[in-house]
Amino acid sequence: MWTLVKRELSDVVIFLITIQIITITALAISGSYLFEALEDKPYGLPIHMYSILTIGGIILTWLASIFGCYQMQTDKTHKVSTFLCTLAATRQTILLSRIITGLIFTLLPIILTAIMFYIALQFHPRVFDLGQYSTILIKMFFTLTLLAITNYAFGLQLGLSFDKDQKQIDAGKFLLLLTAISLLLIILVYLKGIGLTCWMILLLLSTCSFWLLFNKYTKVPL
Amino acid sequence: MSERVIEIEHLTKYYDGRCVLDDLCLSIPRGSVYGLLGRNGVGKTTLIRILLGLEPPTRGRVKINQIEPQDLTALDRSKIGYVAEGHNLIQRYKVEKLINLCKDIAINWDNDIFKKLTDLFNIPMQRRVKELSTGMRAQLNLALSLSIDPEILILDDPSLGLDTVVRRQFLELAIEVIQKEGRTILFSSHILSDVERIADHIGILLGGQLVANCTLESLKDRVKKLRIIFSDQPPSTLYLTDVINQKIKHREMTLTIANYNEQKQRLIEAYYPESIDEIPLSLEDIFIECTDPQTVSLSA
Repeated sequence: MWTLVKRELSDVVIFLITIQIITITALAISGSYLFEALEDKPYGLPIHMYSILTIGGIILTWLASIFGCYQMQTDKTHKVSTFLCTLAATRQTILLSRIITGLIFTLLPIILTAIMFYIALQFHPRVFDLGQYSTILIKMFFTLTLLAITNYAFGLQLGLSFDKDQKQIDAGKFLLLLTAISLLLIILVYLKGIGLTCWMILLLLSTCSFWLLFNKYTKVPL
Repeated sequence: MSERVIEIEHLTKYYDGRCVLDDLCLSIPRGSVYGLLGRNGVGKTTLIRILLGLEPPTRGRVKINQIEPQDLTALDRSKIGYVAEGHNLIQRYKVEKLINLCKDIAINWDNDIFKKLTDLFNIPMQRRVKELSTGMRAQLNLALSLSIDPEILILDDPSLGLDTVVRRQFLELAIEVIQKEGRTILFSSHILSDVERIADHIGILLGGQLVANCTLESLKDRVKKLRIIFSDQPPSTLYLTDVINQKIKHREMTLTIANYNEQKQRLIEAYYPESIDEIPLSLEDIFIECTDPQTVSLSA
């Protein structure tokens, strides 16, 4: 299994590094504004922190869906699974290793951001009380994680239906679809608000999507 | 020898409404070399893909090593070597990276065999797979397949695009595998001299069904081509069963017949021909006769 995960990671290493750079750069740019005291505090958070989390979240969830789609699309184009299936690997392990890589891709920037926020909140001279932000931050990061995973699952689904003979048409069509899905999920989060209902919906959507994907992938011709 | 390594029961496969395999039954005993023949598009690759679990069947049951393909575990898969038509490797990888991947995934990797093969083939490690010639890709694919010391080796038209020297090397290696006890090879090829050289069982696919499925000797024994000379114009038909092909030219009738026996010989003699001569048939001749759409079944 680890060999397959390693293979998946090596295939997407550029993608992986790019997203980390984007995340870290965004954080570095925003760092200087982060804790400026403002009157308007959505969810009790300073507006810049809130904006960065929101924009970062939108970008990350969108990228997660593209990443899922890219993984499956590359697999189809290069017939990677077809080859791996003729070695000592089953479809289940191939898919599982792909999902593990996807989760690493999705969770790593969130974890990095969370760690940086934590460090910044602890040591920034103008913010002394981490406690007043911790609950909402945990809730926001958890929602972001679920949102990114759901988007990633949808991306995988869409990538599996990629037709390599219609590469150009599908690439454009899929990009639009993925953007639409990401936007719909973000709207859902805004409408429902960060909380149990929203989490349950996202959890249900991602579970269903992974279950469908598993069923489809284990039966589809490779 | 009686143990069946591959068992196919009433296998049917449709592609876009077109029947590629039609109620096909086949079993391959352990330790045999099975040559699967057929013209382009008759379903040889589809059959192999179904066996490997790469393609689901529309109907029917398939078992490889007594396990249905979708239930094969990694350990079961590690006992099957496969050389795909067109050598389906990960093209964008460097040879070295691909080898390391296969080595890491393999449960039973024989480095000595692999080294011997790569030295013999002189495969450049730093080149990308897509930059290799067809011959080199075939050699690499074969080396990867043989290094896992497979119990079952499936070769789907492996010599396609290979030159004579490489093809000969390829066959010699396949023969080396056969010599190991209990190894089974399923071999599909268009180069019938290759099949004739290594196969002991032959299956000929036509119209989605096996029109021949028996040992090579039996096939050669059962299909006869006769040149019958009559004193006058030959009769339009001899009322024989299992006639594969019949041609009449002046006083001469050329007859290809399956399951030829004494009874059939007596029936022909009842027409008082001047002479009956047997024309020797190679596997290629039999294949051409058998792939005629009017062919009768020669299953064992």
